[in-house]
Amino acid sequence: MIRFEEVWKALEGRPVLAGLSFEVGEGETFVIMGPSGTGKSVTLKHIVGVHRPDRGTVTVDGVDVGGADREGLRKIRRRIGYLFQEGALINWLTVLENVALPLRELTDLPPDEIRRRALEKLALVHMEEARDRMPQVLSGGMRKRVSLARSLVMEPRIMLYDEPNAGLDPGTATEINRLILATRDRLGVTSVVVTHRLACAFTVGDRIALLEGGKIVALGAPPEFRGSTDPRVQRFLGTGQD
Amino acid sequence: MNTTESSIRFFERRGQGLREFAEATGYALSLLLGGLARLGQAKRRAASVIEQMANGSVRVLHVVLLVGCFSGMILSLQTGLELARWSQQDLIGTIVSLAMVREMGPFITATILAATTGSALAAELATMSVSEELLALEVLSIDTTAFLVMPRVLALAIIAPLLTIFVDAIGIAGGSLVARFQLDVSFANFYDRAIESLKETAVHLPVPKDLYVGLFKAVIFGLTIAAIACAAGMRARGGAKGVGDATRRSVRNSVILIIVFNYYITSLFYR
Ligand SMILES: Nc1ncnc2c1ncn2[C@@H]1O[C@H](COP(=O)(O)OP(=O)(O)OP(=O)(O)O)[C@@H](O)[C@H]1O
Ligand SMILES: [Mg+2]
Repeated sequence: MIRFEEVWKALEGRPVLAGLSFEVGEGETFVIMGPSGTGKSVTLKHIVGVHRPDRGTVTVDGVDVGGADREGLRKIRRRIGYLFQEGALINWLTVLENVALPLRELTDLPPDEIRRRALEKLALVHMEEARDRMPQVLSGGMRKRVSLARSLVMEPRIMLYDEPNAGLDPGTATEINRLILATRDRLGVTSVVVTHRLACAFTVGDRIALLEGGKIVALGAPPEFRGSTDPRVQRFLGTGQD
Repeated sequence: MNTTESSIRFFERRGQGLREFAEATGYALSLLLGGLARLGQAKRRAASVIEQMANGSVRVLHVVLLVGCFSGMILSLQTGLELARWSQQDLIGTIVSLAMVREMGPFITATILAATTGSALAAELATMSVSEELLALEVLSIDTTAFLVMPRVLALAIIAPLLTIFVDAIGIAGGSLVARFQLDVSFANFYDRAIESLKETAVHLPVPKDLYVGLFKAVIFGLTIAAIACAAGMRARGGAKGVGDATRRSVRNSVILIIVFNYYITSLFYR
């Protein structure tokens, strides 16, 4: 489904990804952990073609993202929902307008139907009540939920989560974890979750990878990952916040 | 550091500034063309265009009128005092009206728009850029040129000439007040001269040439301000400082281009 092969990427002359390889299977939830600044967000941005590899290939459903033209990229992006680290809601649109935006811009659906679908996704994240509020007045957790609703509204088959519960209190973080699982179960999506929260990784992940120095240094199902004797994993588990 | 070295550094920095200006202008041009190519969507995006027009005009109307009025007054006083020495005060109406309509109206309006509406626009888009909102739109495959650029470009191309008409009118009115109370030129005299000299140029079209050239300038300035502001905003990087840089750059670049375009449009029509 998603496949990185020996991907190298330097940004502003600094190497960020250095031979990164992994594969995410259909329906799988793949977690990427790692210290701050190791290229987790950059990795996700390769999947949607915002960054293109200097060397190596990134493929989504067998299509080479790095080599895709405008139209090819559009097709790939249509299958992907992307939850941004800071939410990235349009600050001059209401909650409902934000969620409806992709439908309004990309489909010819009648306004009633757009509204119905947007409200349905808002209900999924328990945010129907806030539909007429502006993003600035929402808490971080609420913004994340609205943003999740927006990324789900085009019914993607792949979901990318960038730090879905960073900066949230444990209760809200648990709620977001539940939403990630519910999204997987309800829509059968393939997911890549970037997080530095151990609880999140161990709750939602089918497999967990540790990214360090631009490549994956440890990889395994949660029990294996936790039981790894690799010093880097142990160090990370020791410092990871929970 | 010796003088040669420091002067090389000086020119290096200017060189960088020039390259950055050229890049920003090139990007603005591509946004402008993209925006114009999407004018077909104006009807579908009418609400957005109207909102931008309201934002861009209502908030600056009082500034524009105040500055316009005083500009007319200064113009009238300066030329009037000089003309009075030769007992030629009667010409004030002609000079004030032509100068306002041809040059000062469009220029004053554009400069104020660049500093207010233009900088606000750059700051708004820059904030969107540094908070990954633009990236989110891109990843959603939403056409940012149609969604963000076109309504802003169109709105400014409409409000710039409208505000210019207000500035022309209030500038001339201000000028006539000064003429009347400081220089003893009657309103009748002032306005007869003003209307007469404007009428003289209504040769090719029913509208005076001075007026339509002035308004044509205003449209070009409006397009320039919007395109430069969008370009500066959408290229912004790096947090709050990036937003500040984009705003400053937007105002600077549009003021430079307004004055350059002003010269070339003038020479195009009046040579
Ligand atoms: N657009 C960019 N241009 C230049 N450098 C970048 C860009 N995006 C990221 N980087 C750099 O690449 C490195 C990896 O960034 P990335 O955002 O992927 O980190 P991360 O692992 O997501 O960290 P965090 O946990 O803090 O979000 C950082 O050193 C960052 O400064
Ligand atoms: Mg990140």
